[in-house]
Amino acid sequence: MLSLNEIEGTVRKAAVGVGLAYGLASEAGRAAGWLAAAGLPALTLSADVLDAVASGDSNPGHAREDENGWTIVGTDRPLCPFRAGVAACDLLNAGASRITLKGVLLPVAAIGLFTVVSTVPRLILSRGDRSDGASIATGIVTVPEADPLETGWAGPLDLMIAGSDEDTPAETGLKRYGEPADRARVLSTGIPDEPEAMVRLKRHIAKTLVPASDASRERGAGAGRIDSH
Amino acid sequence: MPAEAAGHRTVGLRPPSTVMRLARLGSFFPSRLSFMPTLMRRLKAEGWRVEQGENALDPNGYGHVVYHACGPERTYSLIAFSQKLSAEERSDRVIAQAWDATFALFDGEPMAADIERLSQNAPRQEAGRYRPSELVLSRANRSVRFFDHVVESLAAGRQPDPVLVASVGYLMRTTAVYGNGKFGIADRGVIAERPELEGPFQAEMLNVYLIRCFTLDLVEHIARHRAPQTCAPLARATKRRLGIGNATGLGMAPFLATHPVLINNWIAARETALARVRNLAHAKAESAAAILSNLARAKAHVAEWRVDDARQSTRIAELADDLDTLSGWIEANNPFAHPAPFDAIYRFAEDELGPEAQELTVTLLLEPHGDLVDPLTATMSARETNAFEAGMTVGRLKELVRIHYAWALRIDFADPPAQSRFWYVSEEKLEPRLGERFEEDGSDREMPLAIARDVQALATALKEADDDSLVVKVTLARPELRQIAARVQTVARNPYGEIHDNLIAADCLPVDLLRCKLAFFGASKFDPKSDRWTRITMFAGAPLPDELTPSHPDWFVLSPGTI
Repeated sequence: MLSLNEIEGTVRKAAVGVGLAYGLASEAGRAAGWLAAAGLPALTLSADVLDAVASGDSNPGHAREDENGWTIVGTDRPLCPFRAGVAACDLLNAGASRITLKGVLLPVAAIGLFTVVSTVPRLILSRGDRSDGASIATGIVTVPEADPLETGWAGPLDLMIAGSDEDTPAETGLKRYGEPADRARVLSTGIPDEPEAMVRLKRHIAKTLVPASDASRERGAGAGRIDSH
Repeated sequence: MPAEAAGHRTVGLRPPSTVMRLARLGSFFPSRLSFMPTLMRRLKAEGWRVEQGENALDPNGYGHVVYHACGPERTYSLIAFSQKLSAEERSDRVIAQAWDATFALFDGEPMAADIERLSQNAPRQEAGRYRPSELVLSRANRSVRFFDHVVESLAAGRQPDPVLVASVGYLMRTTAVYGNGKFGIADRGVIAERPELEGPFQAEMLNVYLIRCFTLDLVEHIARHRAPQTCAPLARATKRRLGIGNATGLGMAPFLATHPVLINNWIAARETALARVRNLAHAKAESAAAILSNLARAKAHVAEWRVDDARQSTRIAELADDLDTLSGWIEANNPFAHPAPFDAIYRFAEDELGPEAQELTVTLLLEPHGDLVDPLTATMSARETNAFEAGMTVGRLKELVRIHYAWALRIDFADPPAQSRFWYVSEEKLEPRLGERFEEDGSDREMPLAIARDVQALATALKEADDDSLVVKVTLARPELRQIAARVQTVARNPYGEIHDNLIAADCLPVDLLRCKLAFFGASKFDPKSDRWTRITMFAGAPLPDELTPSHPDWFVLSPGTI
């Protein structure tokens, strides 16, 4: 079993390893913590996202504003959900009311970011391929049971994000993720390991490490013969 | 009565520009706000019982033993595994793979299956896996010659040589203490709401205190089995003055820079406490007596403090002279007979004494004022992340840079010594290290600790943007600046959260970072072994388990005998 801290730290370091800026990588780590606490395969999702960054199969995109709000669009490849997701959260936090992400790879990873980075009290996420979507409030994501995050949000797909003042009606047939009880549960039990994804993420982390030199070993704590007493 | 009410000026907090310099942070001493004395006061006040549980040690002291710390609501247990270690295997380096003793702090009372599981993992430390039932993982090595001397002395019915007791000061030294989710142990969130562990590093401190109990019992256990007819117990006074050693290096150094909110809360609590005391209009008789008594004890403590490091030896000598000067001034001027006595003492220290003596004076002033100081321990934790305020205007962020980072803007990074070093994570042990930029490879994988350089990059980018535009437009184009922008915003809310020095400069002394953090832990008699690592002792002089009663006096961490 893994701890939340291990999940967050592993994804953060791996994100740095594939070249994400530290400020984005730390948010990706927090998003992975939310995904894990929500019972989703955080390491596999994150490894998929970061592998795509490393291989050039995703695009950071660029943001533009017009009369319909902000749009973040990639070029010929899907948008990286971590990069575009942080950008979208920042725009929302800066007051943008409507944002469209065009062709997001693994949008479920971006949903993790919306729960931990966005400070907007309530968000409505609409999928470009359907009429319904998700709502996010106080770190809890609600989706139709027929369209669970586990299977229905693989993408690439368009996401339309908007702030909302309306309470989500107490509908039936909805599935909720990120309840405080979920977090309490993973804190007390730990999180199942995802060995294959961990291997992939560690490969990215390795790119951030520096081999020790003789000089660095000589300068380290406890260096030399220490039993002087 | 506050000084203001008595017609005196109000003393504010010392500004970050004064406090947050490496040279000053590297002069800090522990105080009653430090985490070890804070833990001791709680255990005393709440009547915790600390006792040995299952003892499965063989006559040579190998095997396992359990210690329980039983509080009003919960019990925590240290499971100690002791093994024979060859001389070749013994190393204090973090890269070692075997240790004399390994430990897990368990949440509750462990079952036999827990102990069996941990016996397969704890001795392997980082190579093992753990569960959220484990709160802290750690290991320690014997101070071999002293350990053997103590055992041999006790077995012969004698007490150990007091000179050795004074000069070594511990039976074992820890080489790593891990918390917060490492290797599968409990996340901080598991314990963050528990009153006894919500303060910073309280679980880790409890772990080390229980290790101290283990080491004191272990020497008696071995001596008793070696010579049951002649052995003597370790004298109480000797037990009390023995602590737990530690070698701390660069792995801990970046912590102060990577946790600005937490560090702000630690320093702000200390500065607030100092201001509260300085603003007292008059001294109670018992406070004045305590200052004088503690000053005498601190002088004796400093007289015992001997190190090989030339720089620190000089500082200790200057500190001893300064404390004599302070004693003489208090005797000649009796500030306690005048208004605002504690402010007068502090101002004398600030005007006339060196930084070590100034900071030791802070400890002296805080010690007798638990009523003003101790409530601040509740403010020393932190949950805030470095939140990025994307909707801030560029003009406002520029202003924050000017206000809080003028020191950083003055550095000339075109001058090679200004960035001759770089921080990195070592492949060998995944620990932070410090490299020489112009001599070693790896600066392309630099950790983001070049704060001043990054602030200059941010300031340059902000110049290009309209003051009325929002910062998010800058970071959309330059996402690499998001982190430093968030840091500037965070430090503006937490002004003691930033060290006002260049951490990649040729003259940066990481040992100053270590001393600040270790002083907050409650460690004393810092013994630098280079500019990058130091030995310390923890809990020396602290109450023994049967002294954890409300009637026992508070532990003053700078008492003599606190080796």
